[in-house]
Amino acid sequence: MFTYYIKLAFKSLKKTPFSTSLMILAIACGIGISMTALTLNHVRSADPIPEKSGQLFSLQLQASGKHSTWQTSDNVPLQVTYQDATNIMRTLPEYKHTPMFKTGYAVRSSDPKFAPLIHSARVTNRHFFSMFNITFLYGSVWSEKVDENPANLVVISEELNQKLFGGGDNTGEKIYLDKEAFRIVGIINPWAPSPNYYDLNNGVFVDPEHVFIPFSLSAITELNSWGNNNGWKEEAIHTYQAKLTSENLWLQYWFELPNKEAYEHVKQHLTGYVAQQKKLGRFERDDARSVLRNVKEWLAYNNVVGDDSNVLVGVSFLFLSVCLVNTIGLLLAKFLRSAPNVGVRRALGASKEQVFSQHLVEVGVLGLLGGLLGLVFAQVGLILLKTHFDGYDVLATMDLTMLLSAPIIAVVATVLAGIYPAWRVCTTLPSIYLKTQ
Amino acid sequence: MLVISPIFNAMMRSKSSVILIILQIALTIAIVSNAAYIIHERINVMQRDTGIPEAQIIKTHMYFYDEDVDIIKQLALDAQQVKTIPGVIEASAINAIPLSDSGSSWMLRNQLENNGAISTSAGAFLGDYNVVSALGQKVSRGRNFRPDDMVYRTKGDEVPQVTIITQALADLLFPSQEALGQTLYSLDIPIKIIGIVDRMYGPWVHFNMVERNMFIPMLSDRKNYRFSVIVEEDKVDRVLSELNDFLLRLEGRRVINHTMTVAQLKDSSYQNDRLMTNMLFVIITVLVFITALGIAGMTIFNVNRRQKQIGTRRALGASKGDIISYFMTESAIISVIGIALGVITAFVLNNYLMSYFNSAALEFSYIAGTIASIVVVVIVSVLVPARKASLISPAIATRSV
Repeated sequence: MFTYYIKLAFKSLKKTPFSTSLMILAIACGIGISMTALTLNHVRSADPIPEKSGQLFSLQLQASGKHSTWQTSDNVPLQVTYQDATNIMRTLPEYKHTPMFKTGYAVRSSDPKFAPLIHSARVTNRHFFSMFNITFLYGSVWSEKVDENPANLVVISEELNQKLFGGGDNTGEKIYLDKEAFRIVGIINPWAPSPNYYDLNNGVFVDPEHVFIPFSLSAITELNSWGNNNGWKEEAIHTYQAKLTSENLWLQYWFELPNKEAYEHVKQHLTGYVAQQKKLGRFERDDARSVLRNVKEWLAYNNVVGDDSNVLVGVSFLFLSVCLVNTIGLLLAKFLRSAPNVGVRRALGASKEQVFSQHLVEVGVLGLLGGLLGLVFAQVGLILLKTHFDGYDVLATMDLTMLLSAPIIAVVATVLAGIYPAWRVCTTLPSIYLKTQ
Repeated sequence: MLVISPIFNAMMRSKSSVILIILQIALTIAIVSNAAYIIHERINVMQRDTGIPEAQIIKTHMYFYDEDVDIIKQLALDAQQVKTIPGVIEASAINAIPLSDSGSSWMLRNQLENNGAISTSAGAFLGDYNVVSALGQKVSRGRNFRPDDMVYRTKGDEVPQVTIITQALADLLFPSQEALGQTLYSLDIPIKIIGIVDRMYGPWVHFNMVERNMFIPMLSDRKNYRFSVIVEEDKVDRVLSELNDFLLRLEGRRVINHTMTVAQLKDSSYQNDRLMTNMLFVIITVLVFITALGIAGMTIFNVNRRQKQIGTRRALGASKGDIISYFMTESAIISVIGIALGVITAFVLNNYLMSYFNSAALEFSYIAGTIASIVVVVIVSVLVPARKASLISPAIATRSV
């Protein structure tokens, strides 16, 4: 029966080429535009580490001045001070957690002819790699000892390994970061979280670092931060030492807390820490507190999706609804025109249900055709985005979910729109048309 | 007036299609007016006068990796040598580039005493003594920096003595007096204002402090520097292609990259705004087109359905014009209701956008403009099928079916 309905549907659609193509075009435009907007939104709101996004927590401390204001919804600064980071780092050895920041170097191999490459580097401790599910192609991370006694050891990405050496296991080799020699201990597999959630200061869809060095080096080699440095206190910071003891906020801090107990335990510990700092007179505010946010909460808090993206999705779906209203109108016109036919069919014994489902099948076919054409439109839209806007390569790509959802949304929306016209036509009384015939 | 009531009655007999057209007109008005307004807002933002000759300024990024390089000396030499390239007007090392979204800001006060002071943060541009002209700025009042104003920070505690600030910063810090000659304070360091430039945008184009900027004649031995070169318009491409090699020949122990004009940089700073306007523009265009086709399609259907009635009216003496005006009146009634509903929906939508996305209050002129264009669209898309209807032969009335 279903295939017969489909056959009927195509026959009927062919009979009215103008309104059929109009309806397909309307649906396709609506789907094309809303899928383009939805793809951008979907990629922006993707979970970068679904296997443990509920277990990774960023730390924020409300440790700023009495009257400081931040551009965050709860007025808590996004980063922490070096003092707080090191204080907290030394406690809670039973959990994985790490402070970090971005610095950068001119990276060279031992080959004097090699033109140096500018690369940002992540300064962090050894837990970073297992916390963020980074795997090693060769070697491994530096030992626990190095997190206390700094050594010039470095982990690099496979991409940088290719550039420096043309690939291969180069652990043990020397590279130069500025003028200092570092020994490679590990080379990581390609890793590019999107959005780049662990440090959102310099953009959301930026390449991760290709160089990783021990956090313990920062104090002795005076590593400059290449990220955001925010001060709220009037302090004259002329030396690196002064920066380390200042209230300048420039580090990110992440915890991995595998379960509720761990979370509660750490939360309690942090509350104690805040109380202690308050007593010492460092934290001045009455609402001094610690805030832990897991990855999804962190992305939402930082408004990674962006207002523009949400507005575009809203407007494009309103647009889709106009296209559907349009389609309802055209369907109604088309179906009512075929009412005499339906009258004959009803008189010959077709039930209301059969007439109704036959018309819905026709609508479904229409929706599918519109959805497929809409998918083509959306691809064109995304290609235009990629070619006209830098940095949209990753963003403007449909994954399987989006590819499948386009025709599904189209069919569902069109069938919903077609219910009323189909119902109207199946309630026609056969007798009226038989009489005039 | 007489014809309205039968038209209205006829309309009431096919309520659903009338409601659908009304709905379509209303939604179209709401979407188009809001989208057009957002486009207008964004274009305004993108077209603001930045006070910078963007196409004439080339910026580059340099990173000194070898500590043996005397950075401060090298920066001075760079500027001096780059000026010998034909077409180069002025060049200077600088810590940040306007419109780049990255830079440094200083907290400033208008008096030493914290209590009762006006304070603000401002974009700080540190460079050689000719840094003001290297960004294409003119000191409109006061004087430009001189070589003897320069401060070289090597130990970390040398402090700036003088500054040139933008008019916007001057207005904010010294609202009731002449800022020129005054002293402003950064932390507790007094810095004398020796010059004012009329208008220059700073690094962060999406923040309200974008017009508040200051210049400081100070260089330090940091590894990371930018370089700003202002070039005669017709020589920009040539200088752009040779600048990197030229600088590397002067000193090879550094990396030089991200060389481009400020105009190119500006383009990427406003990328999201461009994306928004382009997408909304496509939506508006397609939407109007779809609405027109939809209304035309519905009218064609009505015409076809009423062929017999139209023929009968013609046979009874109605002129072609009568038939056209019948359909025009019908669509006028529908449009008026649709427009009224559209105006309400437009404001509801705008209210929603305002409360969730901080967009501005919709100006009525945008709704009016949208209504005007919708009226044109309706007239055109009804006129064509109505004309076709008027050509229906009166003889059709005599035929059955």
